[in-house]
Amino acid sequence: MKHPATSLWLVLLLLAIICSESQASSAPQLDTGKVMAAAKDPQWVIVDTRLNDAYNGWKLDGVARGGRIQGAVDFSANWLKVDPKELKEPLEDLLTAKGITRNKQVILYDANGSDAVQVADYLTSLGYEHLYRYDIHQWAADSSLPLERNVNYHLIVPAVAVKAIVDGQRPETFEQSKTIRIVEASWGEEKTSYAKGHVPTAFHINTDWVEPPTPTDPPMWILADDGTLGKLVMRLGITRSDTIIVTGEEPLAAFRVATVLRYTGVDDVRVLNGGTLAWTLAGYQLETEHHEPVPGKDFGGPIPGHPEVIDTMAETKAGLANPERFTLVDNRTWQEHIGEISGYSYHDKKGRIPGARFGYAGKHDSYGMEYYRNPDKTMRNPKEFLTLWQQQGIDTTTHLSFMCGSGWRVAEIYYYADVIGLKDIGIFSDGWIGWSSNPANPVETGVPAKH
Amino acid sequence: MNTHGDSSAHHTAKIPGVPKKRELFDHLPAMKVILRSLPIIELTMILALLVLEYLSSYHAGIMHHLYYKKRIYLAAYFSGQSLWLHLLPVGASLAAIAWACHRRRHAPVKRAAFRCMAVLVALILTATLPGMQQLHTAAHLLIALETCLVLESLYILALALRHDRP
Repeated sequence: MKHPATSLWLVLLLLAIICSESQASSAPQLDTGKVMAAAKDPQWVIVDTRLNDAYNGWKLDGVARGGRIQGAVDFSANWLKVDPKELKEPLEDLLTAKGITRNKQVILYDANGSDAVQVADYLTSLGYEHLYRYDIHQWAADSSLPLERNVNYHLIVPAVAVKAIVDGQRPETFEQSKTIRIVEASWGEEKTSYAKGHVPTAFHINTDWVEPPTPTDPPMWILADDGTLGKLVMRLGITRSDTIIVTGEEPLAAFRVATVLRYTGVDDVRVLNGGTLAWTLAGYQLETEHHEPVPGKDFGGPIPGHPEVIDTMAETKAGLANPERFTLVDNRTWQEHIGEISGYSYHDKKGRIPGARFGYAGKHDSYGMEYYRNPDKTMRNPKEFLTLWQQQGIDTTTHLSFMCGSGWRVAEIYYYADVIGLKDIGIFSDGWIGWSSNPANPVETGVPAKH
Repeated sequence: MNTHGDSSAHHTAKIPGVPKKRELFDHLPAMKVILRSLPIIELTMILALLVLEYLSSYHAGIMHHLYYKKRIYLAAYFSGQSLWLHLLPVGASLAAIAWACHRRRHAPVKRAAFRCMAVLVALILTATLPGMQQLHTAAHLLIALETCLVLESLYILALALRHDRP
């Protein structure tokens, strides 16, 4: 390094690196007292930048207690990793919807010293100026400070917990589990999704196994009868006392299989939050090796073991006749709800069940879940979808019976409702397709009258 | 009558006063193009169905749609009284093949007859082989093959008109 020009270049390079780092780290660190004061000030917004799982309640990154600061909104650094082409809506729109606006003082907290920096960088690039950082370890270490978490956060599992299980460990909430089985749920044969890559050790469940096409005209893909489900769990070697983690490329399929396994009688069925995208975003590799389940001899309980998961046609009709204690939540697109489209190429009946309340799902088609998912396919902030429900007059103190076309979309929503602690819930699995296939059932179309 | 095939336009108009037997559609160039494009049209139809069949094993939406349509088509067109309708294309093709066998010395007629028979065999196999019936596109395939059969029969008819002109 004798040449002065070389030394100058190296110094400039070092300065450039330092400057680029300081762009994010220029957001000053706040202490707990300031964050507590900010929580009461409407000019401030506190943002949880960790994984959605940490926001839900999981103890990740070594925090002493799991949960989120009360009143904090979420904007995970994980969302910035999602391929922009896969985003259903621009991240800028989410910022606005969550009240993270340029005129506010924004506190970004994390637990790994990295998430808040990434979000700060992103916000800086959008022109945000009043950014601050906070380390939630400080908050979590003080047991006198409240932390909020979803009642049944354990039902949707972070990738890091599944990885620990694959590695032979027992992460939090799995301490009492006896046999833990990881399954991969997707429609079709293994080649459609499983063979392309799945969470290690998982075996495949084809959704057609739990909902084979009916011999009716037109055909329907609705829940199989109890006998078929009983044979299936025996063939897969699943027992009532197992802990099942359902994974999959498409969370809808995973939640659908999870609800069916719960209905069948498995007591502890959980789902990988965000599907295999969460796994790969966490930096873990998918495997392509085939795993064959070993058939079992005894399920260990009656089938169905949890009939309360499914609301039958008769139960739904009885519930609709008693609206003070029963709400049928229509989780389809608005176009399906008002009868503009059926939502399915194999079903031509359009409309809704009289008395059903619009409960949102996707914005564009019958496979979308935009109103319930974050950009990384994880569960949306429950306050946001509860607000939507409130706007539609959905009373969560009544029995909520979720319905969609035939049980996929509502499987995910049912789980989220369970995660936040709603107890009186069920799935009208036959859904719109089952209901409208009987011409004797009444149907409504058009924009519903204001509730 | 020319016995050396239909592709050599230079055979025509060599002898003054002899009518152009081989150029029936000279005044209808579009028809000529259609006739010559028939194999391409038919192959495109079949290939499109094969692609759909392949995609149906990867996409639930496609599979559900094809399955639904298959059920509708089988119920509407391939059961009960509707079955008799299928005798029309089969009968037409058999008649066309019979005529072609009668005129088998013409190379284009022989080729057309062979193509027509190939389509007929494919149709019979699709309708009878259990493996073919399992395809999500089985009903679509039957309809497509019958369409091909009609087209091939019409092609033979066109050849008949061309070669049997005085």
